[in-house]
Amino acid sequence: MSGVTVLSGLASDFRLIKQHLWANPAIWLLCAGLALMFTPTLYDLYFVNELWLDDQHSHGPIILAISLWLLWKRWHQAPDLSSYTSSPLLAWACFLIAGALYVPGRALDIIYFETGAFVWALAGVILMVGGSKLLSLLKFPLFFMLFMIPLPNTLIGPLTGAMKLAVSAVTVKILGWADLPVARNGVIISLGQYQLLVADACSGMRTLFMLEALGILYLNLVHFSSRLRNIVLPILIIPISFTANVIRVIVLSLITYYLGSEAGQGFLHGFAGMVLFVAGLLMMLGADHLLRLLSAKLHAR
Amino acid sequence: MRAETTTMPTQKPNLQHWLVVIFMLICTLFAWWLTPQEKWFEHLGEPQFEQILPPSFADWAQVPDGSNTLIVNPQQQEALDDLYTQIVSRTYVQQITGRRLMLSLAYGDNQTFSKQLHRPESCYSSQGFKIQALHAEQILANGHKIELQRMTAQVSDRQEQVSYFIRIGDRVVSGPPTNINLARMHMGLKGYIADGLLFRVSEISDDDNSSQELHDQFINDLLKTLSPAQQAMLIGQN
Repeated sequence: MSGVTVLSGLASDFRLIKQHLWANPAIWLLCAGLALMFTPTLYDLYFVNELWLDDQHSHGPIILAISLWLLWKRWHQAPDLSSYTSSPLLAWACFLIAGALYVPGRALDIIYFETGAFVWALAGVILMVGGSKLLSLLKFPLFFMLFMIPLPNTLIGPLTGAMKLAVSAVTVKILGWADLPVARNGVIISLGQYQLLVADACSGMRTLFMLEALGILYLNLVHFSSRLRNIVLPILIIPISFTANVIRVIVLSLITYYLGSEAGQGFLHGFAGMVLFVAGLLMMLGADHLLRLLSAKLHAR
Repeated sequence: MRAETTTMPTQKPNLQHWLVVIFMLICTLFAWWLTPQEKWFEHLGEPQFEQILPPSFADWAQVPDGSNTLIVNPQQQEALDDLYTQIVSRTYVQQITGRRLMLSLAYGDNQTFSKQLHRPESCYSSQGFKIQALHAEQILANGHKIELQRMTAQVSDRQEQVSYFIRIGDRVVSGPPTNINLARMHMGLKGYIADGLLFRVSEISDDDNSSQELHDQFINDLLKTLSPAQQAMLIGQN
């Protein structure tokens, strides 16, 4: 049943796109320009530098897909473009910024310039078609897209290192409380006869990005009026993803300790990753629930 | 019918829209024209570091590698193979003193975003070493000024004194980590895809001063035995 609804939903989306295409050739001309500029970038991300296949950045395409879908949905809420007036000056400003980022970004392989340019160019297209009124309608999908920009290692590196140290320290403390034979040297955890290295992937930077993106998406879709929830939840996600990573490292340590290092490196390694993500999501929803109770109480007063 | 047609004009491409598309086309072509196509190492001839480095020279002789890896980490090895096109690690002994010096070269022929070589201070610390006294120092080796990065890496009670330099394209990089990127962009503007070499020497020792003297001695002796072209493969032309 639901499959049929989804299919007919897709079909109606497709019909809408076709109608849209015939009714608004200007928009689609601009979109063709965007495609011309950024298809090479997309190709590079997948086949040349393979960043979007890499563990650290593989959330990029998911973020892009969600943003484009949101963009389409929101834009469709305002099909009557005649009430929107173009702001060519602002649009050209955006295009110039996009060009200034794009050219050196592509020529000198500065990927965060190149991907960043896409957001500016898209903002330019929106301003050219519907002005600042349309831009304010579509500002969330544009903002959400910022999450797909791969960040430079010089920025991520030190943060990752600090998170790793903290994750290892907390893990060792907790395992110590459970009376396990555990010691730590930097990011190496000695547990019984095993030495475990807390790798970059365990630092939780990626979890943080994913959960933060999902949390903000959730807040936006559910559309809360409560300012408390909208501000506090994204902040709470930072300690939540940290805790989720500590749980993952603890689970992996225990698996290795009781089942051997092969279990710890094999299938169960991926399993621990799942545990991490589910734990993070549950904690996020729990935190949101508490915030809802709290804000209800505040309003009741 | 009439009402509908009056709303149409805003949606038809006007001159402005065509200008935007032309601007986008120009950006694309300009970026493509600026993008370096030739690899620097192909321009120079690919260095073969295993062959360039002599097994013995001056007072130094290569000895079989003592295993000095502390932790087995298969993922690490995979990452190294992905990152570097050549890796040379050797141990040399200074004949008179019997001191052992570890030499490690990591070379990548393409220094783009994801394949950039890793600085030893971050590699060591991600393997559990504590990094101390990281600083830069300029030395004169065989008449060439080279900026070396020095550091002490400690794990448990073992101290390793490390000196290294990084060559990107035609020069040894000096200054903060971001300068690696600047050097890469400099090569890019000259029209070349930069290669990168990490040259690292180290000794297990608690005495940083005497260890650093040993490092400098080794680099000086090594450069003296190499031809100018071979030297350039290590330290670039500048």
